[in-house]
Amino acid sequence: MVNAFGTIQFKEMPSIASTGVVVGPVEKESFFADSFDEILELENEKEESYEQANSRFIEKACTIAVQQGREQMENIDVFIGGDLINQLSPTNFAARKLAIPFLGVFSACASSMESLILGSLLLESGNAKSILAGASSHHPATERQFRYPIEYGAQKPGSAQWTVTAAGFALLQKHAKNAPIITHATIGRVVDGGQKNPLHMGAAMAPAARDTIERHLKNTNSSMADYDVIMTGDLGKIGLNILKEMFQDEDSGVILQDAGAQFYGENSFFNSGASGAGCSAAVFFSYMYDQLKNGVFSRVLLVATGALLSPLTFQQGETIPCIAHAIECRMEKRG
Amino acid sequence: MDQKQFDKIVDKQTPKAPLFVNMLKAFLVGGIICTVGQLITFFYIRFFPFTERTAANPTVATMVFIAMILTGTGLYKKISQFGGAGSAVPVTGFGNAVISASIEHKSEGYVLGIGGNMFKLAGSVIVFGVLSAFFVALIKTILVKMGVVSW
Amino acid sequence: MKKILYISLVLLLLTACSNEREEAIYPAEEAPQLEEILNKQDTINGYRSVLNDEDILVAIDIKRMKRFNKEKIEKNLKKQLEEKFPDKEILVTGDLKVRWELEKVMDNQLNTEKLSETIEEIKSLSKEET
Repeated sequence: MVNAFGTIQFKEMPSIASTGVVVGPVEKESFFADSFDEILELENEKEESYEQANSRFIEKACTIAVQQGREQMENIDVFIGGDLINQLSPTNFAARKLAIPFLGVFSACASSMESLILGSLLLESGNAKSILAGASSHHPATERQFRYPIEYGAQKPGSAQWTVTAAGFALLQKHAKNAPIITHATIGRVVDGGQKNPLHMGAAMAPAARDTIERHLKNTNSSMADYDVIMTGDLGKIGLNILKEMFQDEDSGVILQDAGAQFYGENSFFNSGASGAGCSAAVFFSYMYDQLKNGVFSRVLLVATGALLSPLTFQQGETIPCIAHAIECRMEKRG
Repeated sequence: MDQKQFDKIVDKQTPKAPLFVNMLKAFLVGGIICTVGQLITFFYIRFFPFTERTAANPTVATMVFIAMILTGTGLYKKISQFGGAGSAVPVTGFGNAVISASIEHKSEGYVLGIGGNMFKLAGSVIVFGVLSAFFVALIKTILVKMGVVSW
Repeated sequence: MKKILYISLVLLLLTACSNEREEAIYPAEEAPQLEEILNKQDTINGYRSVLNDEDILVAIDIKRMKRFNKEKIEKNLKKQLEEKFPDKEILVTGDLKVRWELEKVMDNQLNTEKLSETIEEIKSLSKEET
């Protein structure tokens, strides 16, 4: 049921039954490394192209999610996923292997939450019982499409972010036992803060995150203090500071957190932090999921932010429009 | 919140590039690269029948070769992150642009991949290098004809 | 660490300009007029010169800031020498390679036959364009 202006309330309580997160070698240094299900030693282990490797990451994450949910691949009704590469080819190719009815989605780095929202809606409508939803990104494959060749020596400014190599997928089922449930979701609006610098995504995405969070709080009659954590996807350290300053809310200091800002800790090699569809997916489906399951958090708002640019648009001097999708998760102790 | 307020916040939160430190680093890195190049020039003049003028060609080839090895081993981007323009402006930066693009596009095959994309980044260097050389030569020719300078 | 940096910088600055003039003509005492002309030049730090019956080779060490006019200085000196020695072929160059080659000639004290051979070699070397 759509509450008001983009916020959906789920009455049937779709829940995240299990998750699978596979990351690349650089992510070993991550603050969240202990929560990941599998860390691969190489970005392309079988000497395949990086795009093929991206597909394999997706397949692996899906397999893990299904195994941990004690399900069979054949019983999954729909597979929803997205990534950052042209025409979603890695996800499309992974769907070829998985052979599950497939919906491809794209909202750049917000794809993780978009697929989750769509999955929850399918469960809500009663048309599906088990859904795989999530997103992935692959550092070398993404860099080469959006920026320069990997080995090209271009000096990165302090606001630059590092696209993570990760795939995070979740198995959604109705009323799964002892699993966090999805109560609300807010579909984002495309917001343009007038930013043009593709190496300063945090500033571009912060207005979108603010818009979505604000609308979600208003439409659900809640305030920031009601949540244990409001976690954005990949604003980075600088983007998070911008977001906090935009809110000027007393609570925003502690409650607002960012997966990208925390992902690599204080390592200055990664400048402002992590980014990519895999960043929000990996953190939300591993660390945040575990915290919910263990009862550390009971109510969280997960906001994945995406910059809807292509290499073409910023070279043509266009500003960077951004989007943010939010999902509210709760953990309730039920037998 | 209007655009002006937002721009102010972005300005405030965005770290300023340390201009002076960056220039110093660029000077050091660029200087070291050029010193290595000069040493190689001396090497070719000393031990091979090259004069100052003719030694430039093998020196450039050697520098690009070194850049190739550094690029392949992933060291060049680390040097670049530190040195900025200091490592981009010398011929090694040109070599790095060509080689990194070639490595990147190997997956699309030799003709369409490497051949088609090799000068993806370096192409503009060639185009504007030739163009600016033309204008510099034009200006010099005019000055010489006017008798201001000699060749 | 900073101290070391400063000291090395000062050392670099000090050692950069040594004003020793290095002058040599081989075979010595062959042409007093040559020495006279070369010693007059104020744009050079020093020179090496080798000569036989047909040729005079002069490698000059041009002062650092004067190197922008390298070709002019070479041409100028060549003209002066050509006036004095109308019957000889003259090569004046600021090239390092030629200077080093001439030094080699002087060190090895080549005899007349070998000398003209080497002179031909050096001449062809400096003519090479690419």
